[in-house]
Amino acid sequence: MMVSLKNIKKSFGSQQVLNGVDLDIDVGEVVVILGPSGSGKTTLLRTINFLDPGDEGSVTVGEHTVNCKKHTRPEVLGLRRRTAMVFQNYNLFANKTILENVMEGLITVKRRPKPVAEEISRKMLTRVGLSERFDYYPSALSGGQQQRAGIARALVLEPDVILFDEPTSALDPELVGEVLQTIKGIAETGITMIVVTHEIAFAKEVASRVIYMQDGVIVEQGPPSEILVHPQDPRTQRFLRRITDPNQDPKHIDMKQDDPQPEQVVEAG
Amino acid sequence: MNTFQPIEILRAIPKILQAFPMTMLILLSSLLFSLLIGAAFAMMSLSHKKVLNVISKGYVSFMRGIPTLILIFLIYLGLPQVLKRIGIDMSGVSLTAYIIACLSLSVSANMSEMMRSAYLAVDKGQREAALSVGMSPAVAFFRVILPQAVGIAIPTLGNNIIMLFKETSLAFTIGVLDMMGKARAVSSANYGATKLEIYIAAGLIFWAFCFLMEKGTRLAEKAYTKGRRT
Repeated sequence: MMVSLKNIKKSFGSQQVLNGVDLDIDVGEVVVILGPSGSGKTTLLRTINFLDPGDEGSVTVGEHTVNCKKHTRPEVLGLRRRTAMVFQNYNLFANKTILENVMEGLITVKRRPKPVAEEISRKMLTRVGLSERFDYYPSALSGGQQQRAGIARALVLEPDVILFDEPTSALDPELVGEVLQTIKGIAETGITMIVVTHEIAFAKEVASRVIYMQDGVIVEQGPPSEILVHPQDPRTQRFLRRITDPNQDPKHIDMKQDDPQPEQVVEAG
Repeated sequence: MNTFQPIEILRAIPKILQAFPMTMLILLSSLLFSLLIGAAFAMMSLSHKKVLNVISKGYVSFMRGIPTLILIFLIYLGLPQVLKRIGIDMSGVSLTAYIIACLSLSVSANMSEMMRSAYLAVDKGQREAALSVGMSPAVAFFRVILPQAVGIAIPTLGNNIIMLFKETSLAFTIGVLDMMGKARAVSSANYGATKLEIYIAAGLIFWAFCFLMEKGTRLAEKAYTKGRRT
């Protein structure tokens, strides 16, 4: 088992976001998490590396288990050093070049000598197609290039698992393809991945398992050929119907809108 | 008979500049201490502990609201009296030390606000990215957040230094011989006959240094953020 989540619960204020999620992921699995906005999928991802620690439950990556309720800084650090994350908004270090962005973790965390770190980083950036951009600052790159640099930064640390948090949601439509292609290439190397996304086609093609989440719980999971083609749960069915509707912006699906709501009266004055 | 003699302005400049080292001593010491005090209060205002937030807010509000001159009189005239009652003798403390203390306190509020807003201006996502890579919070701060916050703060820091530089002229009020104090001394040495010329000279000197600092700030900002900005 590579990743194991046990009974993860999390609330923000009075809002319960995760209602006891259990999840086991094997080595080399590519797990795609789908769900409407507010379903808790991003929060679940962020509880794995404790950017948002769960209130209850435990997280295991490799042999390293951390209790959500009682955890120490070194425990959390250990967890973060086994994982890496790719963010929706890339979150590249704005004060460093692309090359330095990728080198940073190798130098500060893995304590590699600078020349070694630089060589590994150049190779990694070449792999994601950025060999011409080593010395550019993030602000000089397109969203797609920034995101591929973000992927290189995550990958270079050789994590046990890479967490992708809606990696293409902030991109212009014409740039989505190049990033998905890069992620697909990485998936084929056999690294364990958890991907939160709205790209159904990508899930179909790359995922070894699809998870559908809603209201802070896992509703349904299985191979993409089952979940995406013959979903059992009515909630999954409804979500897939809506997301494949060409008139629907997949980033803004709100399942609660399905309940008929009385029209709001706008008060004058 | 009191005619204006421009040549006296030129004569006064080197005399006033004799006190330049004193003004610099006050400026640099106050700058250092105000940055240290400011950093402490900025940390408190960014802390998750409510009590510290309140203390920091109150301090900043008080120090920004009170005129520096009143602060100087409070500390120079008032503090020794209070301390005497509890048996502490302040008579050995030099006048310069009083001025440095007052200016440090006064400017530290602005420094604190400057640091707080610069810290908050750095995108939170970058801190998360640094943590996700496996950096400790301290390493993330020093390698990712601080360098960017410094870049953001440079223009404000420049302003604060200029303000502090001008406020050093308040030192004369308790008898310190800074440039302003020197100007007064030179003026009274010839019975105020050339006081207009002398204060014009003093004004010109302050203005010239402020001008240089402004230029310096721009250069520093340019050099520091070279290539990084969108």
